[in-house]
Amino acid sequence: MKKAKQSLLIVLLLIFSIFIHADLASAQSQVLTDIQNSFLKLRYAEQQGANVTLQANLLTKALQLVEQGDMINKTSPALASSYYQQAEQIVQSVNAQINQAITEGRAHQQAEIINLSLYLGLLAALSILTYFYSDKIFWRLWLRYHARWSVAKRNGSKR
Amino acid sequence: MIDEQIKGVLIAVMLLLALIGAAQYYYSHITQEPFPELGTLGPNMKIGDYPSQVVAGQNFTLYLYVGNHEGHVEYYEVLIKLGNSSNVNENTSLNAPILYTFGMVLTNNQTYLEPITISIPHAGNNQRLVLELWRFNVTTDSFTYTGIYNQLWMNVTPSI
Repeated sequence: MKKAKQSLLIVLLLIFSIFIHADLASAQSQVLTDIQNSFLKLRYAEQQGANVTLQANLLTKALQLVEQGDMINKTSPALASSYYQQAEQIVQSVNAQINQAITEGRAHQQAEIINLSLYLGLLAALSILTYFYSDKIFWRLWLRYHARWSVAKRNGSKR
Repeated sequence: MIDEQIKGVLIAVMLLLALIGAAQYYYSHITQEPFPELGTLGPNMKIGDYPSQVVAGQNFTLYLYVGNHEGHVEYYEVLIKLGNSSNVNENTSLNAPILYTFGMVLTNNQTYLEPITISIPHAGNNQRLVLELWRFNVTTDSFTYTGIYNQLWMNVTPSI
């Protein structure tokens, strides 16, 4: 009877351990899928002009936590589970930041285009002004700096 | 009248400035020759002093270096495999079990340098530790081999 109880306990422990490992594997797989999805959003945000360095670093941090979890998931499943949870939280925080990053990126991209347009427009205006008014401006300036000049008759030989 | 040639030169200078401005904007948004980098440094964080003799199951440290020069954010994985003399080149990844996987997400021109602690499970002479760089392919939603790898040959002695 005692042996039967012990066997039952071992079987229960084994089943429990299998469930824990299955649960860990599922948590790990879920985090990795979420990281991939988050990366795809980052790529899109970057295309919209966002600076995603901070978010990329956070995703790398999440991946390191997953790796730490993977290394100890057989020896201390509870700690591994906590690493996976931390990684998941980081991924969620990245997801929450992406929309804001996209908005800032779009604004930055628009500002860049406006700056370039202004620069090119200014150069075009200067070119037109140079073409049509450079004579007037040049002679006006010339007159201003030579206003006190006087014409003197010099004795010279006629050639 | 100012000489027409001087006028022409002035306008040419302005056109040149406009071209430089536009080119700067264009080239700041594209990468001419995109490429990733993979490097393995020894325990002293140098190219050298690699362990050639290790004990099975005992940890040793290497430094992993990955660089992204591909023009946009990338998700990389470095797979560490243990093989013998089977084939690995820029087209084919090593057909061997994966010992470790290290992942990183890097923006353009960002680099990754981290210590990695690894151990080799089985003893044997001339074992080849291969580090392969894989990139997440956004079209296929899976990792694909970049064709870049490092390798270290080592003799692994049995643990006492």
